Amino acid sequence: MEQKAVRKRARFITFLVIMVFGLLIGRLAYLQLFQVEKYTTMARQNHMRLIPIEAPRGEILARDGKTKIVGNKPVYTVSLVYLGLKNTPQVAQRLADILDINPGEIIKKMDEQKLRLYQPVKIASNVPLETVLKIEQHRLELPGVLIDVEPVRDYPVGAIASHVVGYVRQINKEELEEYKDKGYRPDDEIGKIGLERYYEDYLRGTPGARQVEVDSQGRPVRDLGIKKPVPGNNLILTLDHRVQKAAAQGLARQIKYLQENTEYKNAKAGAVVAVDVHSGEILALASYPTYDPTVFTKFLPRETWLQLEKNKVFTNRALSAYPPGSIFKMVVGIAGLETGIIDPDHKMYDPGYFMAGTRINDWLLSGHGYVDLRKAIQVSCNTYFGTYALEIGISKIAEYAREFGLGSVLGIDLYPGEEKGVLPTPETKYRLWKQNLPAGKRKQLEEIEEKYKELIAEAETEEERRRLQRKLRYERQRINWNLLWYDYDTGNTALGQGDSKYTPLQLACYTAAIANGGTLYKPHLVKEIVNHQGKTVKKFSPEIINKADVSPETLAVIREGMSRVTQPGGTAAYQFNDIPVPVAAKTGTAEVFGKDNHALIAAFAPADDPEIAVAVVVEHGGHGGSGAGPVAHDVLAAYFGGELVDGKWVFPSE
Amino acid sequence: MVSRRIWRNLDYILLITVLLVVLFSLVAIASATHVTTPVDVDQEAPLLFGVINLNALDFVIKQLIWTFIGLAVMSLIVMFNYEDWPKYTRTLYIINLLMLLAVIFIGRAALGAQRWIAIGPFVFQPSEFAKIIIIITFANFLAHRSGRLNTIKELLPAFAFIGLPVLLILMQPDLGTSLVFFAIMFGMLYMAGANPKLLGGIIGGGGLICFSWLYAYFKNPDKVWVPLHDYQIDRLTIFLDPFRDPLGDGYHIIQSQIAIGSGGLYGKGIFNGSQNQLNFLPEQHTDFIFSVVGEELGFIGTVLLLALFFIIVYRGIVISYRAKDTFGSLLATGVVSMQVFHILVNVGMTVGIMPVTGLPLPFFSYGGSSMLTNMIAIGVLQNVYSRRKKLVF
Repeated sequence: MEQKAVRKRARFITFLVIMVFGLLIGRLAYLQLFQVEKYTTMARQNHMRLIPIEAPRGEILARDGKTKIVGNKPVYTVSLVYLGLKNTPQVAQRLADILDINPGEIIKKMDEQKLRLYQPVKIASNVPLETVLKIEQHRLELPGVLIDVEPVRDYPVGAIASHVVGYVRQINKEELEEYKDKGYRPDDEIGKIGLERYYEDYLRGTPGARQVEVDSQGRPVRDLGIKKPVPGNNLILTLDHRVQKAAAQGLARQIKYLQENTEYKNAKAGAVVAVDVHSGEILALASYPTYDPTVFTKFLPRETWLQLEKNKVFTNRALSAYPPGSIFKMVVGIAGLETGIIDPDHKMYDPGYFMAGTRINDWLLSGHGYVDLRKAIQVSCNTYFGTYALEIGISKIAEYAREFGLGSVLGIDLYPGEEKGVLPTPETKYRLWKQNLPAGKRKQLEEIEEKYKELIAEAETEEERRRLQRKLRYERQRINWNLLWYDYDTGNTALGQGDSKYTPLQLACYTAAIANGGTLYKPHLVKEIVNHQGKTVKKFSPEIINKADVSPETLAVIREGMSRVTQPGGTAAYQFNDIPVPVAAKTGTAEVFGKDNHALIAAFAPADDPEIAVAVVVEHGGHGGSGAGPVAHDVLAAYFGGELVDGKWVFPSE
Repeated sequence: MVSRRIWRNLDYILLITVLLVVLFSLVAIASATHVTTPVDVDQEAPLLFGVINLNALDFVIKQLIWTFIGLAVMSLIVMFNYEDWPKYTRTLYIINLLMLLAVIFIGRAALGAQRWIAIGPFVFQPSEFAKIIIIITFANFLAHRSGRLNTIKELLPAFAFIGLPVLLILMQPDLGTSLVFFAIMFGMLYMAGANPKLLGGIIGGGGLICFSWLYAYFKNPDKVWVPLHDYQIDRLTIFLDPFRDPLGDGYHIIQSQIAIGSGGLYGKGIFNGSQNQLNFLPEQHTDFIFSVVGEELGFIGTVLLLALFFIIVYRGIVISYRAKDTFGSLLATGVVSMQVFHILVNVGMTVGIMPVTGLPLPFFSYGGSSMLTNMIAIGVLQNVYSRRKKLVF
């Protein structure tokens, strides 16, 4: 072989080799010099994990500041970290077998968190110890499975205030979108209803985090730092847990009693509200049917959830509007006294009915004979209040009803809020029926209104104007009879029937205002918010919505009448005899078309120096005194120191 | 004594460079097999100098032993004058074919391919030694045909010579190693004076055919037949887009590039690479050991290592043109071709420009067969160099 040719070829081979090395070094330079940042970030995401540490939610305490209505207890949770391993489906399958859930659910949850691969996904919480031990035994087959201890909601005194405290659950997609800026993550819990929702921002703690280094199997290798979680703030409620318990249990007991022992088989729901008359602090608030919020601390089967929804257990009936029946009569009495139309001592004869365009019967068909105002309240005389109502007129009655907050939102600190209710007036009736008109007729009505508005404005004489107004009335009546207000509407409203609808909360506050001399306080459930170190964050002092423009004498007469309700001859006679203080009350029996009457009662005590006011409604519970009275009794009994022993209230002997 | 002259005439630059690479590799293997978390949590692993896990030194010690065995075999090779070797080439070629056949019938399967034969307590990879045998026999084959390699017809016997063992290796199947044989063949053919244009045309044409075949297959996977399984095709082409399957076939490539890229200029320090130490890097002491260097010693480390390799290769080229005869020259060229191809494919794989084929990095990847083969290859080079023609001025 010729030496020169060999050299030449060796040179070419050298050239090729240089090309190869140049290519490799070029690529290395690209990766290591120009793409360092990208790959450094990727390496860090590989091995650094920020493991969030849940902060315990604030606790919810009764008004004594000690009794926990809602607390936290530690439970085991199982999470899965996406390791980028091929066998994730197998791990999911194994884990699902141990947890006894559907593996598809795990995969779905993992997929939902695709964008934050390095964060563990919570698979199950409140996992029993045996399951945890089983997972520990199979540790090697379950790479990426983490077991953590996390706080969940606990209800040490039982489910006595479910409609007040509400519940928490994992945040859903819509909420996450809404709360994103506040740092919520897909696994976080959030208050859904009740105080848990209303005070979410206070109750939620600030989550901490642990930065750890993990190996390729997701096993923590080293702790790199920790940020401690800050527990949420505690709520100190206005609720008295003893009264609350009596209210919740009394309501349930009474409804069960009505169903089992009386003809009122449809008595299936009800509500009770008790307030402190001098502050508007809610002492008890219960609604029936109810639910146990502990169902939300563990896996909730879909069927259970649907069943709860179907039974409408989440509706807070204390904030739903009901016709009040005779409980409204005090408003008529107050309006009559304030306008001077009623002389409290004047006796009216009750033949058992009164005329309001049509004949309206008294509930006692034989009539009550001669009654004055106090007795009219005591026996709940329809004739007395119906007759005077016509004389007082609907506008004055409505004016005084508004003074006491009836038919208006009072602003209680609960989610979702209250129903407004309906205080019937000619205007509300007109609006309501106009809404119900078919579109064609409504248009016709609007044209007529427009026409008469101009005509009346152009009318030259007073007489002409009145004639036009009469004609307008007639035209409206021709379109629909119900667009007009009649005397029997006034009569119905005075007796708390017809379109009247008020919430038990309104009735309790109205009763409290009568009891305290006319001050309508804003009802509230939280007295104070304190942080986890016990420092006050916010204090809620009594807030006055309205001071009723009513003289003390007027209210004194009304209170005397209400005191006599529980006396012999009253509609709630003997019912409160064992309470150590005198009780004043007013019963209500609201007629429900085609069904059993709603039973209602409003009461306050002590009658001579009121502290507490309570309102109760039992749907289709029959007569107010017997249907709703026992619930009010239990609330007052608990408030005045009674103990329920073997189904009987026992009071400490003085 | 003949042998004394030989020892004096060895290429010490080459030898020292090889030893430096081996030393470098021992550090890298120590780091790659160093386990941060002791297997038994209760029992702290014994640490040397506070960092090196003595339990993990197992690999380093084994590799060291293989190095010494390799050096011994190298010395042995040097002693037998290569000019006598042509006598044995026919026997060697047949033994080689028998070994490769044996692998197919009695070999041990690992990772879906049969590449290993167990002899007593030892397992070895005949395809490793096949490379050396082919270099020797093919060098002899070409030496007789030098100057008669200008047409396809004249090249055909050469192709058949290489094609037979390659076919057997493909049956294991081991695509990577088969490609090494092609590299060796083309390198040696060129050095033997084959028509460069013809060679270029064959390589270019072959590449074009393979490329269009693959292209047609990807367009129409159901209709176009390929001599490979789907999973093999996937593995071969995944480096073009590793994120197609980031947890499966693409995982190695992605993690390796993360390791190398995150090393930056200076690296994270030996024993300090998170990709390596926390096991994100797969096969980090064998196929992907270069990534460990990249992560822990940075660009400086990788360039230093490549520079050492370049010296080895360059000395090989020098030896090839200073050889006494064509046979020696071709032997050296075969060794150079083999090592360059290994370096290109292995390093290329770790940086994501070559498919994952499982070719080890010479003198660097952990493993006895590879160490032995490369030491023998160096022995061949030294043998040729020590008997080079004297420069006459």
